[in-house]
Amino acid sequence: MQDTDSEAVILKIDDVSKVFDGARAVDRVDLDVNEGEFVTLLGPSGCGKSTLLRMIAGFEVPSSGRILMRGKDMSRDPAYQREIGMVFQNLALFPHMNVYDNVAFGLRARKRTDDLDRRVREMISMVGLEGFESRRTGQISGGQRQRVALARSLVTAPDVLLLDEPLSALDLKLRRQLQVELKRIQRETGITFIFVTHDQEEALSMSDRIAVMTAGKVDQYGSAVDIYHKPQTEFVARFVGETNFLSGSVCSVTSEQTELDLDGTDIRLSVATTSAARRQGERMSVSIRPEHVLLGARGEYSVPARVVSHSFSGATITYALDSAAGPLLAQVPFQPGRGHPLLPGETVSAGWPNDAITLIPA
Amino acid sequence: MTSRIIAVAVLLFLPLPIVIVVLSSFTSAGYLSFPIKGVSLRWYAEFLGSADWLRVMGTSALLALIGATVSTAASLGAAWAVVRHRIRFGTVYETILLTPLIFPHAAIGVIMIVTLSSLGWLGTFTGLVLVHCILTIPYAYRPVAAALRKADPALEEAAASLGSRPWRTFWQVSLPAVRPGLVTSLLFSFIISFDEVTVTMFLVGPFVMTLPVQVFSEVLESASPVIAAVSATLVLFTSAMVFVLDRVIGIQFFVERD
Ligand SMILES: Nc1ncnc2c1ncn2[C@@H]1O[C@H](COP(=O)(O)OP(=O)(O)OP(=O)(O)O)[C@@H](O)[C@H]1O
Ligand SMILES: [Mg+2]
Repeated sequence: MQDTDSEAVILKIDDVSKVFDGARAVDRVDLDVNEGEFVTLLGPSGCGKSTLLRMIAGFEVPSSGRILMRGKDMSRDPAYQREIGMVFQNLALFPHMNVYDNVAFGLRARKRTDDLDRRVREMISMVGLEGFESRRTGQISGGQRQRVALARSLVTAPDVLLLDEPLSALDLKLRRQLQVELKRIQRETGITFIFVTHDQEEALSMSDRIAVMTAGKVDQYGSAVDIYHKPQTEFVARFVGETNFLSGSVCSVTSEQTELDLDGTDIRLSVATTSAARRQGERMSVSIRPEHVLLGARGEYSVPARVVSHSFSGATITYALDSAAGPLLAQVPFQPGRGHPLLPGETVSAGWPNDAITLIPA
Repeated sequence: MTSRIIAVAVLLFLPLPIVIVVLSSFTSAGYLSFPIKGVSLRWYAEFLGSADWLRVMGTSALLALIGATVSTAASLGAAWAVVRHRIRFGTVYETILLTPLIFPHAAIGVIMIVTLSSLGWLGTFTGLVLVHCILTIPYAYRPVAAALRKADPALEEAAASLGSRPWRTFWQVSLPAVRPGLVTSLLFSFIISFDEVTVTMFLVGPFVMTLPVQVFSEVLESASPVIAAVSATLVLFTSAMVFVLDRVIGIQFFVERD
């Protein structure tokens, strides 16, 4: 196998599947990860995130396909020969060792013992655990254990670090704090991170690129902005953030413009043609994020709607509306003193700008 | 109130035979009796001064040591296969390992006479080691399997992802994780083997004899208080082991369901 990929690609997942007892846990996944990138695997429970990670780490062998590291097929190499670190969901710290020995384990195992003490202490200070070196892993807090796990896996400077929901057991505040720290450490070390989570906010705030997975497949792989603003499937649009789905049928397609008649209204949407566009007469959906819905006669398009309910959340109010095109959620900024919120039963015109629309195959 | 009296009575009664044996070992009379006539250490002197007694005690200790080590090592291997590799029919296999617990010991004795003589090992030390391994495996297996079930398999994966080769992972991660189970297993099988009479009785011969069986046959022949001295020493020794065990792990580790 020769390296035909661009130099930046450090890890290439090539058509990888994993079958357990006839069930496809991972189904023909293709994924490129660039050197130094922060990639997140995002998806609901059971979609195959851990299985994919475990194949990269070398704990499972793919049923088919290849995993290439810098162009070299390593799908069948044993885990200890790969330069891939892993932070486990339950951390898996060595309970019979203190913090120092946990962190030093990888250097000793790889026989990189010259300079060991300096490197271990450097790593311990990077994660902010000075003074805890001789504590047993049972004698420190959850957040500190998290840091030990991180330091232990980073000290050998692996090519890629895999993190399987490392923050999911922590409370929200600590979680936010460690997210920031994780990003800082990733920047400082320049190590490629592959991070697993089922929390879409976490994914959006931390990642360079996100792979949204469902039922063993990668539905969409792209930047956080693309995933949020240009979802390519209904699953991605619904899983990442909240969204409105309206349906219609295609009335004309040119290479530039696709026109769509919105069901229940006489609105004809005209949007830029994407790969999702279909032939005339076919059914399609459009996704419009609640924060893009405007109230009052504004935006390129508008439909009459009736307020069903509203919920207040600090800076914004979210209205549930019943419109001619179907149910709509509208999230609008709330400014005290600028009029009262709309009450259930009131009618209002709901609109949206043209560039808020994403076409999605129905 | 009555139930309390009964409970206290039972608790007092249970160790009574032990107390009597220990007390009667200090007699100055030439025969076993209770209450004792006068106090002396002459029977301890006779026990510890007798090459015969010391030899069988050595045999018993060596037998228990080898038996416990082999049983524990075998249990670790078996438990690894059943717990970690989830081999097929694992639970059936576990049940078979535990059968010596419920099988009548007299029957085991008879079976072992037949087995060992066909191997040519009847009346040999090797034969006793084999049998003691079989008898102690149930006691060795449970704590090891329980410790292995408690240990997190991700520890070994973590070690591998840090570049640790399998042998290093085994010695530095897997073994320490099950160490309490191994210590319990060693101590328990040592005690079981060291005190074993019923089955061993069938298998000793002119060339090999164990301490408890020797005590038993002495009792049949004479009522010398030296037997009480030997028994008291056995009691002391076993209690010391149980004490150590309790200190190191806590008895509940063994009693607990796995
Ligand atoms: N060793 C295994 N044997 C059989 N099936 C397995 C095994 N490991 C995983 N699976 C199945 O594969 C599918 C994917 O599991 P996986 O653990 O990869 O999901 P996940 O995305 O990590 O979920 P979660 O967010 O809950 O951790 C699940 O249906 C799971 O039951
Ligand atoms: Mg998982």
